[in-house]
Amino acid sequence: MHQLILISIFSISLNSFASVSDLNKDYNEFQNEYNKIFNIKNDKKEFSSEFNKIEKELQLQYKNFVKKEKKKLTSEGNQMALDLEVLEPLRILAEGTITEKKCSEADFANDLNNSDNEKSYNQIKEQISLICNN
Amino acid sequence: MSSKIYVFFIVLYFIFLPFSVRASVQCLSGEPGNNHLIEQFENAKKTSGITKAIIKKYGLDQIQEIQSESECSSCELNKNYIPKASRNNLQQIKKITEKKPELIFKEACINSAGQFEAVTTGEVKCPGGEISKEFNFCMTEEIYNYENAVISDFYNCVKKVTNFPLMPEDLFELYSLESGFKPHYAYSGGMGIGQLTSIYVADALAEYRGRNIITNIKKSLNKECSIAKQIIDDDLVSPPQFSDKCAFIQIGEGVERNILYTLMELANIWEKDISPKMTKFNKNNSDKENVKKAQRLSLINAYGPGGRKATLAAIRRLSIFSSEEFVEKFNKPIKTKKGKNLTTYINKINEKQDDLLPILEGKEKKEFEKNGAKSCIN
Repeated sequence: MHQLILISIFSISLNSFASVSDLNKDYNEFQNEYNKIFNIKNDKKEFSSEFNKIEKELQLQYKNFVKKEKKKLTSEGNQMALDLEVLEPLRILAEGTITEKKCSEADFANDLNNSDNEKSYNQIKEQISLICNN
Repeated sequence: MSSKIYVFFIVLYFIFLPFSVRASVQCLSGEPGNNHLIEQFENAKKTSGITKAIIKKYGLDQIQEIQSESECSSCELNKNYIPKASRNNLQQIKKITEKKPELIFKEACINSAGQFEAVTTGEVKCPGGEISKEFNFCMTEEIYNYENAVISDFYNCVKKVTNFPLMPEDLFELYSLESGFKPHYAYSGGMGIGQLTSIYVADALAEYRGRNIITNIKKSLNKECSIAKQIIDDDLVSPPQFSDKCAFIQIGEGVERNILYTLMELANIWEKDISPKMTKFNKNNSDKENVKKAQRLSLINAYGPGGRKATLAAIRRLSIFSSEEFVEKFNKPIKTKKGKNLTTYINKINEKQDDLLPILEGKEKKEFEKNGAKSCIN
């Protein structure tokens, strides 16, 4: 009887350990995919299709992550949600043809998101500038 | 000789009378005798159409009159005492008893919110725009009442022309945190009573963002918008420059513009950013009591620095929960892997409200303890 209880405890803790490492793995995959956005070629036409493809993948990864999280609100999930929102200015650019108006709207959306010139703000700003001035 | 001394003292009395009257003004915060804002307000009463209209609409001149009447200590003892107003004429009584729109915040609460000094933030002297960290201007009950009336008026206007979800208690919390209702603080990150930023002013004016709200106020036939319109009319002809600090600080058309733009920008963020993101959540929780509270928390949180994207992320995270759980979790920190907190601004708002409790006294304190900022609403 004692052995049975110990085995159960061991298997439960192993299971939860596996799910935490599973979440970590998913989070790292998300971050790797996310970073690809900042390596997209600066060509206006290529940017939209490439961005939309990566963003779709990120949304899917986030959705699967939330299912695995089981309503736990992990810091990894919170980070992924924030990372997706930070992309809004690039999403504006990727919707249809990139015009001067869209470029200024994207810049403006990025400025609205800014607080203390953080890394994500500068990253997006640089990306907008590279695409729009190309 | 003695008559000369007598005349000398009379002359001295009249020279120093104005100073002694000024010094006797009670400062609810700031340094007594440091009368820059009082003088600014007195000047606005004479020169600003907006200030005159607010004072008339809310009967603020009569509040002062009634208050100075009640300050007469022997009056209550004298059963035959007839208020000065009655003595003047019936017209005056009619004016006083005429129903005026109510101020949304209780005086005791605003006074408590103002009991702080932001020692590291600059204070602006208008119209010149001079900045110092040591001005510590005196704030009087009359100035707080005036700001209360401006917020009441513009809140009613913005509420009429938009689907603005905020309640007066939310605004009390916001202004308490941003400035403690002091109109003259400014630094690179924010200016005046609502600590407005240049990007928020630009957003409120942008064609594809907040401009429709400005247009709706301009077109509105509601009497609630008649005073706000005066600012809009001016700004549509000549948009305010954020570099002109006094355009958002000076009493007359500065602090008033600050209040209007804070409210318009909140309505704009709601309309363009937050509301579309909450559609599914609203639908899933349509029969639940806390849906409105969840919306209000989200909008307020979005007003803080970097709050817009953080709020959208928080909504993304919390929409899977019931409205009760949404509200409960939103009031706590939601930390990200890289150390950000998605609900920083709401957490700060809550901390500020906790700080107000020890300052309040008597009945107000008990009510605040029980109902929080809601107890600060008339």
